Amino acid sequence: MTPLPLQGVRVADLTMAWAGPHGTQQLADMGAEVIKIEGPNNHDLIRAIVFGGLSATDVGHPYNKSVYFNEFSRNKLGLCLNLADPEGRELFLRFVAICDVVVENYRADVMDKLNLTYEVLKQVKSDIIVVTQPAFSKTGSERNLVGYGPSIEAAAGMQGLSGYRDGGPQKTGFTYCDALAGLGLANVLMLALLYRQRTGKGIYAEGSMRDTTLGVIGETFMEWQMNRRYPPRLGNRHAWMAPHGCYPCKPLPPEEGRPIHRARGSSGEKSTDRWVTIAVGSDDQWRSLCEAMGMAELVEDGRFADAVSRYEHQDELDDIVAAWTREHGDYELMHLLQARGVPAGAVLTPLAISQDPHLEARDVFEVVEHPDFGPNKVTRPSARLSESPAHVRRPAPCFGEHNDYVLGDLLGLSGDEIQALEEKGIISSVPKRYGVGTL
Amino acid sequence: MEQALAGIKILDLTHHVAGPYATRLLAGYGAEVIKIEPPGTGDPTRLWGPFPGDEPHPEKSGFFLVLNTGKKSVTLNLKTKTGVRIFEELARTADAVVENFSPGVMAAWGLGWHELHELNPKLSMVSISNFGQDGPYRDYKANELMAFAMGGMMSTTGDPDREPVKNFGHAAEYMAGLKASSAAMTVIYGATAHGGGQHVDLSIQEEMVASLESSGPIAFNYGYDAVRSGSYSRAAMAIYPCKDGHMMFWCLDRNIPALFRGMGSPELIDDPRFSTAAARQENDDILNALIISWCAERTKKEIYEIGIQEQVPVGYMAMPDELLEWPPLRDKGFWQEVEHPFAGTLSYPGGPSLMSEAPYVVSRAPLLGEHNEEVLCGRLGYTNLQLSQLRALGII
Repeated sequence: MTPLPLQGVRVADLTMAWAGPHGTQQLADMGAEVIKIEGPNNHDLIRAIVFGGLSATDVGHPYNKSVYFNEFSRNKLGLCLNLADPEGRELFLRFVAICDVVVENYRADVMDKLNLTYEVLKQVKSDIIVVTQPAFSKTGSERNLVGYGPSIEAAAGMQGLSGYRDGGPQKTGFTYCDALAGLGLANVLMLALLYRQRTGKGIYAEGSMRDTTLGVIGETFMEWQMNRRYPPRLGNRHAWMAPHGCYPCKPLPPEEGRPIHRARGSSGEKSTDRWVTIAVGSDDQWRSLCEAMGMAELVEDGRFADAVSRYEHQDELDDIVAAWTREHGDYELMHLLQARGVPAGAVLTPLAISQDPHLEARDVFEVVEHPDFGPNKVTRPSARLSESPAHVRRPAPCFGEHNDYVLGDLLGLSGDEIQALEEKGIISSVPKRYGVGTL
Repeated sequence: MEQALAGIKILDLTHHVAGPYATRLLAGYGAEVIKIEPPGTGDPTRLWGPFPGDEPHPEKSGFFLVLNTGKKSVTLNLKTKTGVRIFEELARTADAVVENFSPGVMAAWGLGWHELHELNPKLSMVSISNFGQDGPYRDYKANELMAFAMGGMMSTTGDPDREPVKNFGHAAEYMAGLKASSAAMTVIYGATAHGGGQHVDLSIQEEMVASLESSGPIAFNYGYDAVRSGSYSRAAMAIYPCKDGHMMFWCLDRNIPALFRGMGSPELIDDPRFSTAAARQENDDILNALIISWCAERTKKEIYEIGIQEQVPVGYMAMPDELLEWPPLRDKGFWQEVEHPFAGTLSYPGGPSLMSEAPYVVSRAPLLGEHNEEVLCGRLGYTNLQLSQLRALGII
């Protein structure tokens, strides 16, 4: 059996929240031993995002029951160690000596204050890879600018260009920039690992969240330089295809409505709206759409006879298409149009995704048994490998779950020594200030 | 100074957005990327524009140029036996093939994973598609709109009382391209570490499904859906108009004291209306109104400067022209000026990484078939006479 590609790579993972852990998740999914390190007084803040609120789960260990945390930290191990304590810091350095990678997304000054800079880490492991994920930049005038996904994606141009045609800038639905920046961090980590594999040398690298996000609007920088303009807000419309939009479908009957949550708990409401996206890129697709709508006569209609006319008359076109889609279901329309070769897709909500037959046929979800949460449904590693298929090998770590493994098995501390660390508060299996001042 | 991926050879069978973005990053990191394009037309993005002065020209498309920097272009008709044979010759010494044809196309040419794996066991292959290489929607047609809609993020983007709205541009495709770039590096790493290439099946839809923050896991485990909340989550977590545009504020509870200091109203920190999360929730309208009127008096730049000074998480709502001039980006060399024989000199964006020891380098996008002679004659030993025969046969 071929090993997973990153088997044998060990990562000391100091990242918190989403963008960082989403990045290290990519390495864990591909076989690296990723050890997530939290402090007794500094748990990962998303451990406090618990469905139903903290009080709803105060039986047991709520900090181990965040499905948000558990999705993005599956396949990782967990160590709780106080890096601000001199003894904790020494233990960390001993651990770094047997790691390949140290990765963090703290505020710019934190690693400096802990005296854990690249220069220091290099002294305990000469070929160590150190990767930092700043919101903007680790150096220069933006060093101290704090950022989270939504504010960073504004600064990276994504929000200013997005939005309805008649509206203002649009925040993305939670939150494109974090997910993208997580993949950007994984990109930098892989780059550094390949560099070391080839040269034998360690390296320091930054994977800025803002810079990663800038990459996805590359064409707008060309347009500005070429023609001194940038694209207008198009909403769901396209630069040359029409119709191209998101159309309302027949709502679900109220009794089949989807339960919704707000502010991390059930709101008691249900949503029944359904939508379908349709894109017509050729005369053939236009003819097929007209036939599907039972309006073959539209093909001959001068307003819509060719692509240019359709684009000019798309307000009328959208009204005609919407009048038809309102009478049908989202999946029904998608299958009907796809059968005729017309690009169409239902707008899938997260709940619809969890029940979609295609995703089910692709085994997109796996259930792992989590010691505190129970059966935990998580996404399977999205890179499908032919020779060493990747799976969710273990649930996300409970807080400090692998203290004994790291300190005992890897660093050789005795049970008594580990016990003493616990008594001094340098390690813990319970967060000392759970949920305090985190969000 | 050597680049991180120096010596790595990529055969690039990609077009449109996701695949070309993946291989562009690899080229920027120093890999040799040979982009195979169909003779005559090349990558369809050569027709997409934007074009200088809106005059279409296959070597002046801004879309093509920005997605294909640093690559070599070889034209090859893979619908011919000779074209396939030439591709196989190149595959014998390559580290990875990256492709984003519709599922089944490569196999129909005799270039499926099993054939390539047999040809060169060290070779890896990354296939990017809308819905994956199998499953009921495998052959469904999609562009960015469907990819974004069926990946889940669109359902939570936009105003609650309006239709869901996609992100600007090609957000899902770029996201999958970024992932594909890492996946290629991962299997190349594994091939050296453990001996042997792998095939990676990447679905754009599934990459979006894996990117749903808390709304995915909550739906998967509790059966509750998230809803659209527009650009307003709560006071200080929203887009605010200001004197000359908009600013995004994203203040977690822990950032609220910094916000009040930044607003010049430190007394609000202990104001009972705002001193706890629960109190702020109750007085959300009041807090929101305070921020609205504070922003209305200030420019984007002023608020941004205060954000830096007081460590308030604000996002300067930047447009492309502002970003091209953004001093911190210029200072760190993010933009690289490159000359192109048809498109002239333009500034191109760098990559996600900043590694001083092994930099990301932009060099210009190739002309269609520019490297036919270099690769076919120089690398594979074809003569110039054979090259003209291949050209006459429509193979290159």
